[in-house]
Amino acid sequence: MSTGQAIFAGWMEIPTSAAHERDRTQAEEETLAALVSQYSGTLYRVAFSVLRNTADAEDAVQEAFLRVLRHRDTLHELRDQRVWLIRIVWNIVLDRKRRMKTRPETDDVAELARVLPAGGLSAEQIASAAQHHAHVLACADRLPSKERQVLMLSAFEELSSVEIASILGTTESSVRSRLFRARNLMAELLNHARSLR
Amino acid sequence: MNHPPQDAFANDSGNVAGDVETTLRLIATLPAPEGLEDRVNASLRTAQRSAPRTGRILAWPTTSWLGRDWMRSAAAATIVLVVAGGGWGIYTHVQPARGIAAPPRVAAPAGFSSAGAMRTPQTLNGPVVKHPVTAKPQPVKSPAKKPLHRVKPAAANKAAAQPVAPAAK
Repeated sequence: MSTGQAIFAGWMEIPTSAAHERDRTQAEEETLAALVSQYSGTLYRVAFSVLRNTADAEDAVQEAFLRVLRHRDTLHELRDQRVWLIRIVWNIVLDRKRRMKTRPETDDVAELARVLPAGGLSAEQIASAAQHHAHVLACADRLPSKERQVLMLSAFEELSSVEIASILGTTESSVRSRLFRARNLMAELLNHARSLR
Repeated sequence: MNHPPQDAFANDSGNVAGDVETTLRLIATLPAPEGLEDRVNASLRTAQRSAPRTGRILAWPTTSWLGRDWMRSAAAATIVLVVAGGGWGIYTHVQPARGIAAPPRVAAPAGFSSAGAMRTPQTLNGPVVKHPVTAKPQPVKSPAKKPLHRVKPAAANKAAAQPVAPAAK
């Protein structure tokens, strides 16, 4: 192919053949499958930490990957695919949480008792642990939204403060100060709840 | 260097904070349900089939190497020729005016001046009367002389009742 033809071909963006298109589609499918295999578990945990329902969390993960499918042309331009994916699923779960009504604490207890690892505990111990965790999560729900979001994301060990800042669209120092406030508020809330009992 | 943020404030609060950390970490380490990847992949495949990629340029219809390369160059050359020819045609047929033709200055009727304006709008001339009619000057009515101050009737009667003073001798 001459230089002029090459320039025209690049300028007009005409695919050279159907085989090239097939190869490209196959490569994109493989990239997507690799992303699903690598990050679906992380995305599920992030979704579950907010929604606290297995079916809702799984729906959120599927919706996140469907959004990825729409932007598959720009996948190779991403610097950090993991943070980008977590940001997508985070926005999805926050949107769903905003739309759904507040879940009663009893629902959380039942769901937690179902998903918590047994680890040789009796049914009563599992129920008691689920009740305790549900109570802590209910206190976390009473935090201001910014502090609550940072507190939730900080529990994921694989996320650094820089990555949390990137997901939330803020600075690292802001993440640290919000986390400090969140822990103090949580301590106050839990102490107040214990004094009432 | 990135540290997990939870390290920065470790041991800041007491057992309460430990409870919170335990609960949140437990939630954050829950295993994903079995078959999640398969279900996500299946939904992606379904979405790909139902909504194919849009906005792609169609492939060139010819399949032989000769037709593909030759016709592609010819099509590009044709596009260039059509655009250039159209531009040349417009350039040759549409000539700009040599100069701006300013309308002749018309003296403003009724003696108004243009106040030194370089260009005055061309207005219609008014109708011209062939036989000017000399209008007769209307007689000016002299206004009736009225007393400046109206005399009160009582005072007027009094003045009438008084005898006329004898003329000075």
